[in-house]
Amino acid sequence: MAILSLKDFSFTYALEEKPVLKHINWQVAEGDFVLLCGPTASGKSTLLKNLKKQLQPAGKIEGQILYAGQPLAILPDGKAAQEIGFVQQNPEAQILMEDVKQELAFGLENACQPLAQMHRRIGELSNFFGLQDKMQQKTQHLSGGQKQLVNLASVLLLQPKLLLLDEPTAQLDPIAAKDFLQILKQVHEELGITIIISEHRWDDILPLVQKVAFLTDGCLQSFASAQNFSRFLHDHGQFATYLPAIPNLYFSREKERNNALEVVPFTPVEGYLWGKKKNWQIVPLADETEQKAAPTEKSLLVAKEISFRYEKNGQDILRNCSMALKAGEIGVIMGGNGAGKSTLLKLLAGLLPLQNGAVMWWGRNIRSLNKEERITAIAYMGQNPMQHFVCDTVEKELSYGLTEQEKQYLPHWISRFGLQDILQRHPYDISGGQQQKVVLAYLLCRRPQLLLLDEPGKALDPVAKKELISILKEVAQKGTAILLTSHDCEFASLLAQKATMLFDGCLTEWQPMRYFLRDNYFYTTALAKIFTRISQEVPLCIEEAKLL
Amino acid sequence: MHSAFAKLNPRVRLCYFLPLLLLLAILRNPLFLITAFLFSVLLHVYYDKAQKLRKNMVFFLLLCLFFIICNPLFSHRGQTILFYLGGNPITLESFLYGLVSALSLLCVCSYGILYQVFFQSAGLFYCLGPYFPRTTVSLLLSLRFLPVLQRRFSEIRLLEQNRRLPEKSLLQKGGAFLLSLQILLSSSLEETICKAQSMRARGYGTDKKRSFYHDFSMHKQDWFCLFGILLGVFFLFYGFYCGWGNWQIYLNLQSFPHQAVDWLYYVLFCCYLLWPFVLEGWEEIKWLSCR
Repeated sequence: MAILSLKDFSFTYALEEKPVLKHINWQVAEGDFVLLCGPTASGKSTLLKNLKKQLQPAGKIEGQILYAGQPLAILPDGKAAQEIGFVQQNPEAQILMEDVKQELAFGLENACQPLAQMHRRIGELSNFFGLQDKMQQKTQHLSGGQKQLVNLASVLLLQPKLLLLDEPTAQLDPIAAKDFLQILKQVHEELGITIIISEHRWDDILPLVQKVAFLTDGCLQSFASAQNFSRFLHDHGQFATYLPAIPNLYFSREKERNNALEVVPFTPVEGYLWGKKKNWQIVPLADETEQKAAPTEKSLLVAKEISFRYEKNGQDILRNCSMALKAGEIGVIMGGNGAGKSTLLKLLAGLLPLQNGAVMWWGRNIRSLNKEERITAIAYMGQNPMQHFVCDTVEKELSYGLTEQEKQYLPHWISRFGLQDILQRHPYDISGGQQQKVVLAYLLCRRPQLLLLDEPGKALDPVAKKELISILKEVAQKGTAILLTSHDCEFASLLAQKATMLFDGCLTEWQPMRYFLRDNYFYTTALAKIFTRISQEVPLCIEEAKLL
Repeated sequence: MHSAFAKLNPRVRLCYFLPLLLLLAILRNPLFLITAFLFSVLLHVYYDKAQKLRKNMVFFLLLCLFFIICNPLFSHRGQTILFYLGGNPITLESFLYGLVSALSLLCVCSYGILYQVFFQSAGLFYCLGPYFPRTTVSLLLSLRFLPVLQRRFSEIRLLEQNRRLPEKSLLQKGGAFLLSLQILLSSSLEETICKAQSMRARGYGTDKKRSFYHDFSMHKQDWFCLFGILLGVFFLFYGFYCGWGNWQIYLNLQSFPHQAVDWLYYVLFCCYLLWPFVLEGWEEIKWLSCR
């Protein structure tokens, strides 16, 4: 029986003319685990919000949404709140209360549940989620992954029949994201809850789901099993970029494929077994040093044993971190949520005062640079692009604070990032991915020698990521050094030349990207996981994997 | 916090603190006030290693100094003139009154912080939750929002160092500050929408009633303590009403109260201050005896 049916459903936002969702006919069976995916701004979030009665955006609705055979509109508010759960993308923005216990109880209190029942439900579920020792802990002290688990637990306490998740792992590090998805899988298998999850990173989620709904430009293009969905993407050339690495590798080796009935591998183990069966012959890749753009000898940025803590009696966030970056180099810092990556970038940008050590800019202490020198030389993009915005249109935002000379480069970057259509919109009204592009376009107009980017690939779909990678590589080739933090290993592997991990306040040794991926279990790519089991050669992208 | 006093029902703790704060605000006897301050320091050390007190102590001392200096400068009541300043008499009475008022302020601040150590936000739930459920939640959310705003504001100020802003003159600097406030407000409003969605998604506002995941019931020990506290409060205020332990400073300075009844009142006052230690001691004895 279908728990959810959409019949010729269309939706147009208030004051807009073009519909965001167009004539969607969709049926989700009870107990299904569905991945809702598609390019940025394809209408995924709008669709999910329309399925949650309390969050339906203002606008014109055509067609019908049926929940358990009844129109969603006539479902009583209390029942709708309990039976349809919703988890959003930003873990911090959803958390309301001061401690974990209060946060978990919030929904139950709204449903006016008696104390004894709340106690029993919270006791049981907190054990399932491993939160029993954190009940008194302040929510602000939890890591991103823990916060998202608390959000999920808080929703599950209401015992929903349908669970909607809007990119819940977008801001989590690879390990926390895997943990979250595994718990979700367990919830699905043990509690039988119907789950619809939207995600940008599909590698980890595809093996877990039963069905995939693919949305482009507000239309439902395909609703099929994960196997058939991957074949659909391959067969429709324009969508092939969206294929995750392992199925992409499978389809790229056409000669080795037997027939249409063969199972498409999704996990690294499946990929490895398939490769082993086909008896892959590994050809050594060209030497790492040959592929690198030759950087100048002197480092433009050198950090010498820097340490930092936010409070006088607090713990050190960073301890004796040293690093160097040459012009034209692209480095990535990886690490768990809350490891101190953003703090390190701010220190390197000269925005925070150092407690120990020094950051040298072409041999000069960075604190001795005046503001103008610093702004001209170093550009920093924070994790939340909204905090950069000061004007009410994108156009004004792009030129605010730029010199006349710098403004000359604006048309180039506007067209390179495809911002022409949104110039007159408010920066808050554009998508997260577009907000990042606006900030980047602004920063690149300053032609900085060093670009510090905190999570630049976040909120971008595979096509937009590919475009961003090519732009950043182009910028680096012209001599700008780029240092970024990222949780997205696939993105980082395609962009950066070298990588390090920040753990326990210290930076591990910088390694060429290929060796970094080879040595890791989790901070690595799906392709690396397959090939490290076969040989010592690690392809960074699908083209290299084809060579192998 | 693992302590017998912290485990008491918050309403009982409120019944202990509120009358005490009121009494300290109106008492004008330096002996009582110094004693109260010393006991409050002991409580601070015992319960949170005086962390919160140490953070605020400099500010409190400056405030007290301000009182001690300003009172004789602005109030010229009293008959014992010490000297003249700019033609205005500085009297011993107004100096002493300023000193005692500063002591009173110090005590109120110190016990006020102690109240924070015990209560935090959960106390609001207990005291207001059953009567004004939705207002309490709104209040709690607003309180939690304040430190978040503070953190975000410093982040925005930090990012502005990364951008050319006209901030040479004082006026331009003021403009840059207002710009930061504008970013703070607009980005916070944006996040507030997410918070509101999170609240609605979990059924907030679907029903006028709310329940609370807190045990509001009073246990045997709570009743026993409440009885003791109310008895103490009654005698303390009755004594104050009768003028026991009261040192008259204005208009002319009287001798320090030293009658037997004054000392008896002082002992009663000390007993009230000692109450949390009595509870902790009793808990300790129970722990040791069961081991």
